[in-house]
Amino acid sequence: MKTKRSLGNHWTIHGTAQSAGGTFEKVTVHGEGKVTGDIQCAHLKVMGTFQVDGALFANSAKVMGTVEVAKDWRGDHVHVLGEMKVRGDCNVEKFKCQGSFNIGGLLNAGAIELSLYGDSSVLEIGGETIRVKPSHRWRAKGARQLTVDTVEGDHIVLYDTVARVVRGNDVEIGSGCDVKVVEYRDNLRISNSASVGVQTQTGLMQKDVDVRD
Amino acid sequence: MEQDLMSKKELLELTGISYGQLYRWKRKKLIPEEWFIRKSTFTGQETFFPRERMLQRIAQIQSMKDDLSLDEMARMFSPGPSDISLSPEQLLAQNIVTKSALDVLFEQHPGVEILKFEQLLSLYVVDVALRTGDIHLDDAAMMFKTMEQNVERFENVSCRLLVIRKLGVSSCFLCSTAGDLYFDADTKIVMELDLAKCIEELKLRFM
Repeated sequence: MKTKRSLGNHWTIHGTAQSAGGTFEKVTVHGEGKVTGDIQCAHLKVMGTFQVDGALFANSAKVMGTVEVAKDWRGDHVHVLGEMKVRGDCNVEKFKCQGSFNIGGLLNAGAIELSLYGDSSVLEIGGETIRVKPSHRWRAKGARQLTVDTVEGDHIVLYDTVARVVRGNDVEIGSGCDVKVVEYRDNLRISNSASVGVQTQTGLMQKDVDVRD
Repeated sequence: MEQDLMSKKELLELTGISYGQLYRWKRKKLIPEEWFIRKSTFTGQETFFPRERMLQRIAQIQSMKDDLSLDEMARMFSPGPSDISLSPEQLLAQNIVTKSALDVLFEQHPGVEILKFEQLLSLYVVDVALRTGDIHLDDAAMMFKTMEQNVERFENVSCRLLVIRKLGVSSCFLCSTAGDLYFDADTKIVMELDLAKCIEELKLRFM
């Protein structure tokens, strides 16, 4: 995936532009961009608004403005400083967010690092390391929250997260979390100010594991 | 088709892999998206897998991951054709197909020297079918013809091959994996082969 070969042309948007999609080397959006099909590029940089009606592939992407993708997002790494909205899945190696995001499907990444600057939501998170840092509380509205159904990974650290199930090897549930079920293999740490419904250790002895189906 | 499913939890316990590995392999397309089957349980939505295929695939990945990169493995598991081309003699020498399957080939293409991937796959499938002992040589020839002419239509789509027989008359056809088929009571399904599986096995032979 990491080829040096140029994929195509540069596309820079100042003002408003629309395209049917295609392959680009570098896409930079300063104003307002819209793509009616699928788009592929090596580098994506969005400072304005960018709307993709199909799927997006971007080797590296930096989002300082707003991006909306109707289908899946694929690529190598993503850095969100603004706002990201993906209706499908998001498959990348590295996902870093210092803004807010909304993913309709699965966020699947090797390393996930989230600092919550706005309320975010995603259906599922899966990956190797998943870290959600505490949100910034200086705003009068109170803490920002991450809402997710299932979180599964090897090393998980969560703050200010509302989840149904968290499963992993090393799990840390920090302050501000509300998790219904935690399943862990090796270690589990729970903050005093977190609320956890059920916690089970799996993979040790079969008799400790409740067989559900 | 009735499928035997296993839960994600059970898979991880049986194989000893971690969530991180499973998601990485999914991301790298080593495990097809269709195998992640979402079902509702009383604890909420959970993911299930086709048991036999999944366990087999995990074992393959685990045994190969020291020698091959994830991208190389992904290419191997993809249902698309590969750029392998071989001569019939090599196939026989490497024990990929038997002599009787080659006879079927020579009957249709006398004196062929190099086989393209589609032909190779057709030949391999015919060989698999012949080995089961359920089909005649005439059926094999028919299968080979059907496969060779139509298999490229299913590029990147999973399909299966069926051989049916009614009152001693055989027929064979290719259809996509999705969707059920029903026959009248006199018709017997003699053989059903999943071509994605065959392609995978065939590619493994060249590793």
